[in-house]
Amino acid sequence: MKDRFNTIWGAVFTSLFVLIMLPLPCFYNEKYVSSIAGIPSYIMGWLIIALITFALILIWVRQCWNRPEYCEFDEEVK
Amino acid sequence: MSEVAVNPIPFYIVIVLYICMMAVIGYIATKKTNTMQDYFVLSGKAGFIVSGIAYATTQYSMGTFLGTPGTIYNAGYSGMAITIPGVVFSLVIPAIFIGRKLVTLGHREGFLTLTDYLSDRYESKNMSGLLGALMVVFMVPMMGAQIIGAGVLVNVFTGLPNQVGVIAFGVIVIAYCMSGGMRGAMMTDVVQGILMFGASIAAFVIVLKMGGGMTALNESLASMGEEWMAFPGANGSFPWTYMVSNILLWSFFTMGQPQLFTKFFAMKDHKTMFRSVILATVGMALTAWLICWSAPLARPLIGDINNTDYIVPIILQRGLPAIAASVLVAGIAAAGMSTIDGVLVTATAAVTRDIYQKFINPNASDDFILRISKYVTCVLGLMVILFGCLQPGSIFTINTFAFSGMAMFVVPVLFGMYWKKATTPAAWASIICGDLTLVLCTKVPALKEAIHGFHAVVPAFAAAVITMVVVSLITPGRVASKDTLKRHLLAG
Repeated sequence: MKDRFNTIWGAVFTSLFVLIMLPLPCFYNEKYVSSIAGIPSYIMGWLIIALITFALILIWVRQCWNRPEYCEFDEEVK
Repeated sequence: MSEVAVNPIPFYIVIVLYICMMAVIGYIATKKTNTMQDYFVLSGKAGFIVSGIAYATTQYSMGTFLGTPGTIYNAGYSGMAITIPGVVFSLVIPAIFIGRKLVTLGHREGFLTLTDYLSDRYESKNMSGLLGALMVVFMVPMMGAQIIGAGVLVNVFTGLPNQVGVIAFGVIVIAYCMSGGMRGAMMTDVVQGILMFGASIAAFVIVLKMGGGMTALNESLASMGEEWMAFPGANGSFPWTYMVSNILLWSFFTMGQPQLFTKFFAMKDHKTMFRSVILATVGMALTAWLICWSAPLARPLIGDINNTDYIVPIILQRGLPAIAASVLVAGIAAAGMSTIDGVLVTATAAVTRDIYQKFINPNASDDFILRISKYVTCVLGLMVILFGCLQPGSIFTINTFAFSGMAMFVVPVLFGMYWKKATTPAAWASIICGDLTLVLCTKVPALKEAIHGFHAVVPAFAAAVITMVVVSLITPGRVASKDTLKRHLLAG
């Protein structure tokens, strides 16, 4: 079960990491496409992926928090 | 006429105050550093604020504030691809793939270094010697690149020769690392992180104010030509292959960097790791976005400077009162020192523990290692100062090459954690083959041409992976014992 949990989350973050490297116009563009305030559209693409990834980091941390494999050294600290 | 107005008095005042602060922190750290474990990894008791900030500041160096903005200033928005797309992944990728196990192994097995981990996984004490030597070979130039930047800043703001800054900052770092080890390094990293963050915010806000806002600046930059707003950039140096190389280099290959690897050994528990991931990701992302975004926006405001590495100091000096600018320029110098201190303590461990204690004299006690570590820190620091005085290349080039060299350690680390068939000869061969490929693809023009714009680290990594797989399959008798595999493997 714990391997499946780690595998799924590893796949999620790896997928996003690979996605942002793809030469899609929202991440890499050899033409200037203006978005808000004249910012190139690929900058907004990077920002959106960053926000999604950060939200997923928070969810991942929350799900890991009380899992036994991540509480192993808590008692030592107490 | 100088591009930056020489105004030394505020700079001297700030630097003296900064030195005093580092000295106090170094003294406090000394009192709490009593064992070899304290010296190298805080005996695995680092909390999340120290861990998170130390991870971020060790990764972010002088290059982040001088070399990278200078490169972006020359290329336009496309140059932001060096850092921005991958920054949010910089800690979560290492944490999810290797961090959990490293925190566990650090506590259970008492590992202090990357070499401790690899020589245990591959059951090879001799590996300590190879890895320790390679680390010193790459880490001294990495630290040298930072100290070159310190010399540039002192020269720019005071008019004194670069070597003065190199020697002065080098001596400060040696002093607090010798006395407090990793505790001194990580405690000073907190102060340095705050200064770095402040410099990023200030640079971005100043540029927006000077330029009349984001829309006006983008209109001005776009009027200079579409190439400033799109790939491959104004100087054509950011094709897709180079963008991918940089994303991989600064976000994925961090897993092979010994100085970042050992941050996991210093964490007191897994919850510290999770909090550190959140804190460091926020800090690194905000710092990177703000400082990198300042560079293309500054192009229409500050044109035609000779040395584009000065773009951030110029922005700060033109937008702030002298004392405030000096404080934040000290923050940029702090970026370099925060990288040097983390790397210096790790390089010391490579020499005293990985090469000497494990390879030359296994009977050496931990107390003896602690004592000689302080002297080795000093010697390595002096080598870095010498490197900085000689200045064999640009900050960005040297830093990238050194980072790439150690990136090859990712291969035995990842295969060691996920593939039970990875063998000891394969681990040796993958590192050697990867680093050889890196050097060849960097230095041989025909090979540079053949990799079509990718950074040499990409084919080097591919070569290391292929070597690991092939050699493992032809040396099945050299697989680690069941006990070792059980302790190390995350899957299978």
